[in-house]
Amino acid sequence: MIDKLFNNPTYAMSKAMLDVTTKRHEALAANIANVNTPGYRRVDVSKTFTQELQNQFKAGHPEAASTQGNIVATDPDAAGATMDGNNVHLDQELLQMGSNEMQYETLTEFVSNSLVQLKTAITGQITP
Amino acid sequence: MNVISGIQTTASALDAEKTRMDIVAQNIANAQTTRGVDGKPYHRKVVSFETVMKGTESGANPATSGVQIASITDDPTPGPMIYNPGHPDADAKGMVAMPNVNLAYEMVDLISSTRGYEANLAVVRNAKQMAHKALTIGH
Repeated sequence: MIDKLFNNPTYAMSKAMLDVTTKRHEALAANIANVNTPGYRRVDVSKTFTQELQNQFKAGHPEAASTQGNIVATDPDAAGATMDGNNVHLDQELLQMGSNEMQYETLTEFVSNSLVQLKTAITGQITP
Repeated sequence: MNVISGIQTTASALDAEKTRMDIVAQNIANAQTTRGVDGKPYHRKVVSFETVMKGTESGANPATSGVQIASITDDPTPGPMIYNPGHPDADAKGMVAMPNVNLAYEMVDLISSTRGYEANLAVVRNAKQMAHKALTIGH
């Protein structure tokens, strides 16, 4: 019975996406850390994993998404590199990090509201 | 598990950029040093970065790597020779070998290093904000 309480689709999807968002932050952090390293290629959430995650969302069980490789991998179609082989564009990375952080806050709101609704339903009291 | 995600990567970057700034400061301070510890004029130091995998947790991803200083080497190119016969380090012809520190190069390194440092500070701010927000779940 307890499991079914937490099977709300929005809640399950938000939980899965929270993990992905955290991993994406680590990838962007690694890119920004290596902005001055010669020969460094930027990394991001791998396309295969994104594809698989979308498939699992449509099928209805997002937590089953896994991947053969890692979630974060070298971005194969990143744009041009400088003379020393480094293809990190600092402004792009910072912008993506900002929007990633907003996505994380939105997902946290979803998860939090699901739990607060559940608490309200159980206790019968509305907490502000 | 890190409460603030990516903290080791960012810490390594902050450390490396700080060291690079220190080396730039050392080069600029010694731009006129004609006699070093070994008796020869000062040679500017060059810092090179390399990626390093911060794999202290199990299952760490090799793709998310931090950065470290690979080496701090001397720049071997000889500096300019200045005609200054009154100088204590002047040779027989009155020429003094000056350090090969070029202020333009050093300032560019300094600016690039500062920009990198500030960007990594922005990353830490973001990560801290995410961690704070996560703590508010359920309230």
